[in-house]
Amino acid sequence: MIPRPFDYERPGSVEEAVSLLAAASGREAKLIAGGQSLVPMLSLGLARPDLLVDISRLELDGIQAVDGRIRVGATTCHRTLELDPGVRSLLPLAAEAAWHVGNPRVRNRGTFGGSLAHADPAAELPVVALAHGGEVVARGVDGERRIALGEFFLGYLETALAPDEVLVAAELERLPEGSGVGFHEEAQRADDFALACAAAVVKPDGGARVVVGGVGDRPLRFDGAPDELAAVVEAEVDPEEEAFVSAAFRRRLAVVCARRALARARQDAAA
Amino acid sequence: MTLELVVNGRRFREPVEPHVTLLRFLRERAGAIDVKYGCGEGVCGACTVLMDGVAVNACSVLAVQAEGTTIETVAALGENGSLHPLQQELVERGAVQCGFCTPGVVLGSLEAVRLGLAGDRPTLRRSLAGHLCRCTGYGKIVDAVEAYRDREGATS
Repeated sequence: MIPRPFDYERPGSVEEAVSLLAAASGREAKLIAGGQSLVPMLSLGLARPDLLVDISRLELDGIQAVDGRIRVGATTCHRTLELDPGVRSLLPLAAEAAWHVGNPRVRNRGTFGGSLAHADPAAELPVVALAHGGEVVARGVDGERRIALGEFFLGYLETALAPDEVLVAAELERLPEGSGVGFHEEAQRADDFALACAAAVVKPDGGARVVVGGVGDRPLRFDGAPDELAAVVEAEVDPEEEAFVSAAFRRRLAVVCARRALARARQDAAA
Repeated sequence: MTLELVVNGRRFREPVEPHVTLLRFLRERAGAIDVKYGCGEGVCGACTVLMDGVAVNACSVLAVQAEGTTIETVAALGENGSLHPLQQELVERGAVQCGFCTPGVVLGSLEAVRLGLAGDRPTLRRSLAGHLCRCTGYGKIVDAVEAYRDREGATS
């Protein structure tokens, strides 16, 4: 299908982007970066914005260590997370998970910030971000605002970002030295949306965390002992019944993903 | 908006509406009908082109986002009407049947080989994810890319 017409602006700075969003009053304005979710949604008629503000050229990409955290720029593409040797050592969980996002062409264009802001509950990178914890850095008319990742995802395609805010980066907590990480996903086809996925972190103090995606309206985080977490996931998740995927099957997949991600994380910690 | 970009060595400078995808621009305005419209939602790989050397799904990029870039389609490959070595392997191994996925497969495979993501069969299969082929069952495509990879490895 051909998308419905809309206006298009390519601002030269984040401030300019914020002004454009703020001035849109009444008209639906959306940010576009890689566009790997948005352009298909436009073509399918699922998104009908009046204005697109393109931030893909604002040089918001890059990954750097800052004060015990790892700052991932909003327009860092999935392919960088997947293939950059530096990322593999700084953010091994993101490297592992990025590989599961779409197909190589989607990963060449799709961005980390876009994935967080789009907040598809089946997406991999929100799961990874929540497993690390930390903050989302957003800029709006009143300047910079930091939103804890635990409070960022509010529901299906819904986040704590205000309509005139631009997500410029995420600052992820660095995992303690000696931690192990693992990621596991089950999907109907190799590059399809996850039916369920899980990211796990096993810490040297014996604690563990698992975040499951695809089984609720947002990624779900659970902390506890590594042996008990899969049972916690089974008891806590409450997926919806869908035409081809029953609630019971999806819950089962969530448990399998959690268990396998935890097993990988343990192996990784021991290695 | 006025869009300026280069397609297979030819420079274009013309007005384009923001809701026109790169795929539509290439097929309808730049005459690049070797770029195929498959699913239109970034899943099938038929519309793969290289944008500044990076493989993208042309259906999932707005034409205005390609401003100032250089686009290469499968028609840019080969010299004087001859086939590119990878295309030759695909033909010889029966990996081209209806041919609709082939332009995308060629460009996607070349990127995978160039990035070293075609080293072993499982990795190569993984790299070709998202190039849907309804004819071949993929085996012959993978064989052809492996043969090309080995041939390139031997000559470089």
